[in-house]
Amino acid sequence: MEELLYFFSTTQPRRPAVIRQVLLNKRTVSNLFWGLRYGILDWLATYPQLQREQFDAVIKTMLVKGWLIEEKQGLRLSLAGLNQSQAFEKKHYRITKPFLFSRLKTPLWHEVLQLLVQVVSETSYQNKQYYVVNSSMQARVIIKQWYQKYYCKNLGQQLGNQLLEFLKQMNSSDADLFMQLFSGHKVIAKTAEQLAYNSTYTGADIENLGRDLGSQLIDFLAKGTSIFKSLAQALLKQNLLAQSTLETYKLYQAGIPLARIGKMRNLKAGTVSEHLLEAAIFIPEFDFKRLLTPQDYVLFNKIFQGEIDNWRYEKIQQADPQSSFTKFRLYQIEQSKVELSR
Amino acid sequence: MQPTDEQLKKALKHYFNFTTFREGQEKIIRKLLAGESTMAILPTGTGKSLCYQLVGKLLQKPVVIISPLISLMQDQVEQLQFIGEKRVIALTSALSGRYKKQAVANLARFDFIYLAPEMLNKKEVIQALLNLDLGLLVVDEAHCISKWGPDFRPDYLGLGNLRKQLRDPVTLALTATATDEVAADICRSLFGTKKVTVIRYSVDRPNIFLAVEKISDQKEKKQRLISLVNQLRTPGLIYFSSKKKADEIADLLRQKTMLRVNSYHAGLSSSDRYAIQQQFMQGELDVVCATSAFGMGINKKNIRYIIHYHLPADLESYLQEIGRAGRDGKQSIAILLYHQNDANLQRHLMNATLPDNDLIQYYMDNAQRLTGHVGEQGELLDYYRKQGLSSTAIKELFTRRRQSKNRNLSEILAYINTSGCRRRYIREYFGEKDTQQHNSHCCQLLGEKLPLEFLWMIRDTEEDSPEPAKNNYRRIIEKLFNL
Ligand SMILES: [Zn+2]
Repeated sequence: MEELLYFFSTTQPRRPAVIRQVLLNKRTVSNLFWGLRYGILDWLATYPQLQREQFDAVIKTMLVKGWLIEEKQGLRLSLAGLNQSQAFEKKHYRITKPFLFSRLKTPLWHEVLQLLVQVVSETSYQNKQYYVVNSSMQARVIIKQWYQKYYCKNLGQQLGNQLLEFLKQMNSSDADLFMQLFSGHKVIAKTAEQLAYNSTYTGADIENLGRDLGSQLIDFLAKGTSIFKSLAQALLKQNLLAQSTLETYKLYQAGIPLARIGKMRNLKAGTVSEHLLEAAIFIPEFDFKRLLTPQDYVLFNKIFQGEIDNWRYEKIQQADPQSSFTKFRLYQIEQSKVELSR
Repeated sequence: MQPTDEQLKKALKHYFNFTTFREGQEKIIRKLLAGESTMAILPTGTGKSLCYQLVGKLLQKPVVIISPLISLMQDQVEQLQFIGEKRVIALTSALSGRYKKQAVANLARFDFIYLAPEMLNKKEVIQALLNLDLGLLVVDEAHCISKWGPDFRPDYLGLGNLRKQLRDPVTLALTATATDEVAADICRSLFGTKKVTVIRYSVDRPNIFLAVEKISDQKEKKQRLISLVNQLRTPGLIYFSSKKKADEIADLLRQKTMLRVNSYHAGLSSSDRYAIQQQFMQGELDVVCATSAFGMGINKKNIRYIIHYHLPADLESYLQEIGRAGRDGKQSIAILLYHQNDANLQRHLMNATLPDNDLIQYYMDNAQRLTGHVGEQGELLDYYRKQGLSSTAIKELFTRRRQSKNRNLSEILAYINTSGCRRRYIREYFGEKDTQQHNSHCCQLLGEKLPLEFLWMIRDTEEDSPEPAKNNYRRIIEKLFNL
């Protein structure tokens, strides 16, 4: 788990709990905000199996080794830690498109992809008797429905072509490893551990490679025009927001006042605010101006300068006791986005 | 329904593409078709499942199979799908809520319904079962009622009541190994005082040579294993009682032999388990280091040896596990490696799964608060508490369990230390009297060397692992899709 070093900075002290929760996709506004500040929101949901004990133990070891340094606001990467992180990166596989992970329905996408390759492969040899790869009922139903709709003579040719076209953009030894993770007609998948015996990668690296290329493949199919498009689209979430947040945001977009949204959805005012803060973090075109008045901007501008991490709500409370925490956080989010876009 | 011999054979060919029945199958099928409940004790690998599958096909009525291990059920469902049977469902707690509801609502549409015992606690499942025109009820691994029931599957104890609720359907109780005592126990809890036919076929598998190797220290055990694996004909299966050890030894064997070795246990992801099982089936692995999770549904004919690195839980499990060797009828061997600390490890495992009196008392005193928070042991205690048993009764029950587990261990140790024929020991243990004479193909007597050469069990090193295929992604894609 030395890759955890990637998520620390030599300049910005960071709280390990935030990093862990981002990797796990635990979405509280505070986690998401600090994830935004740390610039690691792309990594949401990349390690859904992360165990707390294991994570804590790794961080502890890193502190002992001096790769991380404890400071008041969190942990900072030392020079030794930076060297270690760079050395680690040279030897190991690093996920290239982490932002795709939170868009995928997990673990469904993996099962469907495995089933798709197997079913099309067996069909290519007109074989109907085989042991189906382990998969949930849901995955089997999805594949069955898709198959009934799209079955055609050259199914194998079509999937083969899509895979070739997708993989030719990749590093070819990565592509070789990736394809060995699938079972089909008279072809049995290798486990990540097995592939690691003859590779410079570890089993964990190959698992990451499989997830990374797998999610990119689904993205590729979903954006393409092949007969696999609708299947791939069914594996992607329509929206990055949680369902309840999305509903609140839609009402907000329709121009309905916050108090009424709360009544309509039977939510506390605090919950409505949290939903809007989450939307403010994820939605690129979020309209901050509806919630922050020109006077707010003047006041915030006067009080808050410099490092956004260090701004404190108490300061605005002293200047204007009416101003809410939500407004303060919104302004912080907006300014963070401005900073990131520079 | 009583089909002629010819009709039965035709059905066997039609549905399973076999031309002859194996020992016992036809007799069981005929009993069931005649409407008689039956208890069948058949060694593993003799095609138990074919019996009820064919009966279901002939009766054209749904068959409900209660099976204790989800992994096992998954395997059987896959086997049925493999032979082209689509109307199969496994109802387990692993099924997601929506599909479970749908499946329960449409239960009558399935021909083969596999049920995890815990599903029988659900009212809607029972109701759906009551609405079925049930052809046959099957209780698989029926020894769980007697042996495993109190340990892991309290739900199994309610099976007798379920039968009554379902209005006494024709029932097949299946198990691989059962002493007379256990068989009687199973019949009592399933059928009450009703007399049922018991069909028993010998647990003895003459083509499996039986051997025990005593080892004086743990380090030597590893060395001995490496040397055996380096000599023996493959494929082989090595059993361990811990996942960690299985992994560790698999690593070691990869380093110290030229063979393709992998571990297999419940700690692996389901896709890895699938891959390893298939690789082993298709001959891409020579040796699997496994826990007892492996092999339940596996049907590989040519396994040449089974080595136990740790002690099996009891002779029943041992027989089940070694029964996976030599299903092609060719010479095979079962070797139990024994170090005297192994017995202590087994006692330790025993204590970890059975709650002691203090824990039972504590649980009963704080039951409301603890329900659902104390894991496997608590689940068990909770079940008994809900059955209305007192603390004293529960303590007694577990004391008896512990005693019976200790007895099982002593039986294994006695098998290890017997000075007589090992095969005779096993046959007598399972109540089979007609003992044949010991000979040089039968077993290794205490203190004798393993006659591997004599048994033709030494591997030809020339037939060692073929070169691994080139793994260029283009070539894999061409092969996958027949391009
Ligand atoms: Zn003998």
